[in-house]
Amino acid sequence: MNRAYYWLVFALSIPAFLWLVPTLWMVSLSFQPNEVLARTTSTTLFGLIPIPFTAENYAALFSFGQTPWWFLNSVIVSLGMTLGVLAVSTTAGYALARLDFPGKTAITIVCLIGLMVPEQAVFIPLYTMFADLGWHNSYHALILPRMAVPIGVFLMMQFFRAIPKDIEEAARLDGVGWLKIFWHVMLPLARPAMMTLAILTFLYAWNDYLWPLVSAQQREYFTITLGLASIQSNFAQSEGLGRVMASGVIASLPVVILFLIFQRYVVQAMTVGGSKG
Amino acid sequence: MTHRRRVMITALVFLLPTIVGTLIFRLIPIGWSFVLSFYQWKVFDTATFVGWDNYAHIFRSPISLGVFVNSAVFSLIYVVGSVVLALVLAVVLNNGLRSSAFFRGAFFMPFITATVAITLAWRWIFSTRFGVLNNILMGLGVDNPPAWLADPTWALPAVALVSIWKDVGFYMILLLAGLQTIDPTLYQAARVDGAGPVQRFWKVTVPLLTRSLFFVLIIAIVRSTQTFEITYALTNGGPNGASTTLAFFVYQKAFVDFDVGYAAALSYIMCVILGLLTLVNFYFRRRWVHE
Repeated sequence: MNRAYYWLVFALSIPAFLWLVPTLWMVSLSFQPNEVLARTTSTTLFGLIPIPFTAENYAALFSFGQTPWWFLNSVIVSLGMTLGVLAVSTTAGYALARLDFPGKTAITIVCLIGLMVPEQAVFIPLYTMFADLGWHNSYHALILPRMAVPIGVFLMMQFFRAIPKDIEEAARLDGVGWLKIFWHVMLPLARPAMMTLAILTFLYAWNDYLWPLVSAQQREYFTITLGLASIQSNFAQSEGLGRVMASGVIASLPVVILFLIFQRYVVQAMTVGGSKG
Repeated sequence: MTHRRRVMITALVFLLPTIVGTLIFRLIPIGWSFVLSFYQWKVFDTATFVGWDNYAHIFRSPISLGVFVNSAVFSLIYVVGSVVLALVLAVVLNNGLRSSAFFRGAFFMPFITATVAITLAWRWIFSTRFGVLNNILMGLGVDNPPAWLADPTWALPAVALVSIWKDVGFYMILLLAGLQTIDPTLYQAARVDGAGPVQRFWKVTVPLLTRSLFFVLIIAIVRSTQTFEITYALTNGGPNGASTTLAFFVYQKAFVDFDVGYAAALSYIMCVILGLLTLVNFYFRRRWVHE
């Protein structure tokens, strides 16, 4: 039993290493001088150990270039989208789960259809629509269309449905209004689901690429992933390799940290999705 | 104000952003896209109604037919590769590994890192002269390793490989969730009846996991048709279109060639293919899934 266990761990270590090694390379190369990388990348252990070590790639990224600005843009867009999705999804989810009104089924169906429309199919009209309105190259262009995520509404709706009805009925008998019940009773109860939704939305927004690519053409509105790709095409593969990798690390760091802190919520969210399928 | 009216007003206020958002950003665009697909319209130009011409051209042009073939090959490699690998990993991890949190994190990590960022690392790994892959291959005595991303034969499999690498952890987590709903006493019963590990896998695990497996399969198929960022950052569809798949082609047509009507028609074909695949999936799901 014991020996089989260690064999299993050993057998799994090989693929796990393969899965981690591109990330390790990215980190390690980002700490090596570009001049050395331009000559050869088969330095210590195929470049896996950063010798000679330097932090100049990071210093260069933050001194000239717009990396700090792009980073800030990503923070603004991702936070804006996360807050927006939370506000829209909790209210709609609550209304669909708990309020009785005519047309409820119709609205649920409309949301469901919206859920099934693939993004690539709405891209082109959205682009021309925003162009006609002169909305491109702005924060609202980057945030607004991404807020229509019916999946968040469904996640919150399912959560609110699971909360026992007596809790809000007791409050209603005391004459408390809907808004107050929603704000003071339901939202605090929904905190775990909101956490999950917030983290998933933030991850999605931070890593999103296609919409920012077509909507933000001015460099001031680039998000970090866009900016990163734009520097990459300016550097020849061998010349600025260290700096390209450094920008990759900077772009990934916030989401990786977020994931490590909130791993429990992320995994839980996936689990909910998986068993509901 | 009556109670009923108060409820209605609250519901309206609460639902308004969702309804307006879904309409403006999803439903109206999808309708408009359908209309656009019947026009020849290069942006900054006037649109001319051309009927089914865009669709006819798509099915006759060797370039777009090549893209369909690429997409099918990519989807096949990606779906089979990632789902099988995810299943193996999930089953192994589910068999009571004490360090499974570490392994789960290791396999899941690529899924959350910024796609474009991590694809840059892969570009370096695959690069012909400086790439670590070819360095290792030459060290092992391979004289003429392929140029990978610059080689028409290898570019598409390379994109598929990176996509599998990135997503497998996600499917693994979904399958792990499904595995955890299986009653452990069933395995004990099977063991008492003399079933070995392979038999237990086929007779207990697989039948009880069909629900999760189909869910993962649908997501994998949908994601395989939408692959964009990895292609964009790794090969940009090249060399000479060898790794261009449908979603990337839509982007190229619309935002590089500015041939909006054509791109709209392409995106509609994509919708139809996706819809058909989902239907097929549901059909098999109904036949095979144990509820």
